[in-house]
Amino acid sequence: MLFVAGLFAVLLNYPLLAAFDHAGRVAGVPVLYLYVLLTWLLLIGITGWLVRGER
Amino acid sequence: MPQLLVIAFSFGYLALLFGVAYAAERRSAARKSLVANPYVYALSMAVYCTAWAYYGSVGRAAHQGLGFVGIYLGPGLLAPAWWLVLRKIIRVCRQQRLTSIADFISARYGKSAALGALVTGVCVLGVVPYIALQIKAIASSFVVLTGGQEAGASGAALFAAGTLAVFTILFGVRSVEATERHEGVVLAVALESLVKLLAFLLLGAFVTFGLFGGFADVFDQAAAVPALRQLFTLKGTGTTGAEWLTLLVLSMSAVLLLPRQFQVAVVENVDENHLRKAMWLFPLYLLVINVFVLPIAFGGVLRLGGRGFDADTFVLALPLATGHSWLALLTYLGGLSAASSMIIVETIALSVMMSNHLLMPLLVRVPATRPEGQRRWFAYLGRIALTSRRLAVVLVLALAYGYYAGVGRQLPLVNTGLVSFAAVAQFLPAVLGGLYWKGGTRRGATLGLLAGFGVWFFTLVLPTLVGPGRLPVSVLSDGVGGLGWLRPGALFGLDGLDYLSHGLFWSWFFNVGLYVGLSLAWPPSALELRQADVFVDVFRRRSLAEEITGWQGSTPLPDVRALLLGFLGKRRTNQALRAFAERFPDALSFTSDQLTVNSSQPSPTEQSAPSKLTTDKEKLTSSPVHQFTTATTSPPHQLTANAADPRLLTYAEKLLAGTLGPASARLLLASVAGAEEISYDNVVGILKESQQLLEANRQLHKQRRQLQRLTDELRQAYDQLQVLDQQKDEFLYTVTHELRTPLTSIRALAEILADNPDLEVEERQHFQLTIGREAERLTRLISLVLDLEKFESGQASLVRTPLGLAEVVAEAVEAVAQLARERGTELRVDVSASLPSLPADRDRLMQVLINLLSNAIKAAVPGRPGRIAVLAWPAADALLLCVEDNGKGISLAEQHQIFDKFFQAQNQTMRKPEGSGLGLAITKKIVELHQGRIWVESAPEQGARFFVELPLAVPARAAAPFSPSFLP
Repeated sequence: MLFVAGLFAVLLNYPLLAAFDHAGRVAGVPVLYLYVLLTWLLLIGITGWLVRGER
Repeated sequence: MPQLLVIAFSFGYLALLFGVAYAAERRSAARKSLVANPYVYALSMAVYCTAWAYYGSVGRAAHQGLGFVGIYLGPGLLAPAWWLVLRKIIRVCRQQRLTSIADFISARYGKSAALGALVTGVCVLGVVPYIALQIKAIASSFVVLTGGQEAGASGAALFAAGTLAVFTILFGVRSVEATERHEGVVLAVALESLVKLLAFLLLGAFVTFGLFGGFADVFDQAAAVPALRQLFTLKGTGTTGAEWLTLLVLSMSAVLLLPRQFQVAVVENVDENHLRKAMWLFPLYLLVINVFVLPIAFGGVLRLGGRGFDADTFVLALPLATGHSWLALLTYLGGLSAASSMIIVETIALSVMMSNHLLMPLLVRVPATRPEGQRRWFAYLGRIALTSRRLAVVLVLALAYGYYAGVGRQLPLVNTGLVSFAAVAQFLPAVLGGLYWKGGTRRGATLGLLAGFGVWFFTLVLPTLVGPGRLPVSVLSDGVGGLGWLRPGALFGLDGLDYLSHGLFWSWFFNVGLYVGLSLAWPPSALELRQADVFVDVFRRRSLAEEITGWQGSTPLPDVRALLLGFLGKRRTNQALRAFAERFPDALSFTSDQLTVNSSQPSPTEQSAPSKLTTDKEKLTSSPVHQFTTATTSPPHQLTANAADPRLLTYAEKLLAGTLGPASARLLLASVAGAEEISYDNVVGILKESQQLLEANRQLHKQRRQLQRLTDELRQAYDQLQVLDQQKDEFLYTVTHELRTPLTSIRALAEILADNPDLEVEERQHFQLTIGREAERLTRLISLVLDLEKFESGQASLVRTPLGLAEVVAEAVEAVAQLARERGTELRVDVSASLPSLPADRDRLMQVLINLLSNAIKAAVPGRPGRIAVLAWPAADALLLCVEDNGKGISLAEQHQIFDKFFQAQNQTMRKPEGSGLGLAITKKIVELHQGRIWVESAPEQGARFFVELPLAVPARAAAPFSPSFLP
């Protein structure tokens, strides 16, 4: 759990964040927005899955 | 929209909240809780999303793009670690009956009243503007919706504050016991979270899919505007890495430490396991509510840009401007729910903190004038506690309203919130340090917090006070008093950071520095040590009973009772004492009689609240170690009928802590009941005792392990004996079987001879010869068995003389030469006469050689000329002898068994055995008696090589008898 939190804290911070910080767009949505939202969703998914597994 | 309609809806909505809260309280009283499930828990946590999130996010997004999301991403990142951090806090608070962040910090650092007051002060100063912000949000959204004047805002704000005060007092401050859960409030808050989520999603969907053609369309249109295209990246908005990180860290600490978050997540937590669901539900909530923020912000700028609308009001202005006033009303209600839920929970938390940490520590110090008046004074104090909390609710809301009316109107939503976050973030070092580091002390925490708070005020609050009629602008540009290094925006010349990162950096720098530094510099007191232990090792101790009591001396029991009666009321006191008596019959045997006299039959209401009773019982699960400890702390003979057990004092303190906060409870019990605080020597004594107990325990463990090992060894020996016994049986069986075979034939032949006296001479001679041979075989067998027995019983001894091996070999070869010739086997001997002489028993060695040679001859494959070679050569300190044949060989599996007794006999029952099956067994025994070794190398159909290694020098042990074995 702590590892997951740490990993995503790195994923969603500089300098990794800077890699997606450009003006391009995917399916009309700016890359940065998409990256942050999808990573966040992934984090929630993993957390939910881990919590389930522990039960 | 018409004002009246909006007012009616607002009223209707708040009335709905009252109804929901009331229903939840009723259900709770009927023990059918609506709140005890993880979904309500997770939703109630969403009180994190205030009106600031609701309106302010869009405003911030319109100016800074993605920057707003950090505030929600932080909690999302922290959530996976909740199972470690938040669960620990919950456990500590439940065990210690702590009800607020001030309780937590004060209790951790030696139950310090001053620290509790300081934390409360920081909370009030930091959070009141934040509440003011909510009031402002309600007021301005009302104004936007009704299209009225600014003047109308104050009225709406006052009205909202008043209604919420009534709600909070009715449902939030019901009982003097602060540990009590507020099911009504929680359900109302959860409902409000749902309302604001749905309203915001509806609006978002309307903007994205109604006004525009989906996400891509919004962003396409935005991309056409250069100002908006800039917002697509963080670089474009000027959000630096430091600012982003600051937002994440701030929001992480806020979601843990904000008074309202602490209230819903810790105090109102019903079951630790609800955390599992909340860990992903709450972040999901935050994610979902933020999906539409950017489209709404861009949509607002695209459609309303240039019309003078504040971006904070886009949420309402967008539907209004496009003529969807009902949607606007719904959105308004969402905002109202966001604001009101925050105000309610925050106010409850603050009011309890203010009453328990600002007022009660002062009041409990006032000594009762006469002992007789004590009880009345306690009861009076209990009432004061409740009343003061209600007054505190009003005070907090009045302060917030005052702030709103005074300074708050000019400030944008988001900034006040962030500054408030930064204030609460000052608790983080003390809280995390308190949870995981036993070395943190009261002194360090207090000064660290003070310094951090001071810097926070200087760097983050002072700039907001600058303006006409207040502070001069020169403070910002030239520093306080003209000192360049005292500029709030660049303290000590630290430039280049945004104001928030700058403020957080310096405040944490001093906070953490002083906390750690002072903690290391001065040792903690006994009480601090104990509390540190309780907090850090909370998962290791399972119950109250395992705690060191911390009270000593004899306190009159009636005083303790009176104390509890005053604050808890008669019913609750009796309940609690009964629970205690059930757990520790020895500590309260005399009081249980008293109890039964005092308490009537349990009334239905009493039965209706057994949940509390059971939790008390759970906490009281005892361990034998503890009972021993306390028994020695206050030996039973000291317990007069009048003195309260130290355990009871601890229990009472904890009960009172749930009502008055830990510091006041301690003061009260110490001053009024006259109990002495435990001294350092006592703590050391107790610790020593438990050390001795631990030592004894360890010894017992060791002994147990030793016994276990012995048992194992015995069992092994027993198993071995069993095997040997079986082997003996087998041996006897085989021997008798072997003896019977020649006997049978002798008897049969003898009978034939006796029955047929007229047998031909030739035949008779043949029979007689056979009888003789069989008798010989019998004799040989018996002597072999006797030999073997001799060896195995250790009776055999050697007569060693120096021998020439070549000579012995030649003699042995001669002995078997006849047999070899009969079988047509060629014998080759290659033993040099120059080999060193060997100290050995000549006859025994001969026996070995003859045995090996005759075995080799017998192993020959029929139809193939047998060839046998005898070789010998010197090795280090030994002579090696090898007998090699080209016979049928021995399979690998059998190689291990051929030296066993009767191996051959056991194995070749189908054919007539060619030997007794004892030869190799005896050979091996003889070689071993010589301290030598024997082994075989062979493969089926490849012949066999038997090696014998005999030492040249006789070791000292040689004189010792052959090691006895279990064999017969």
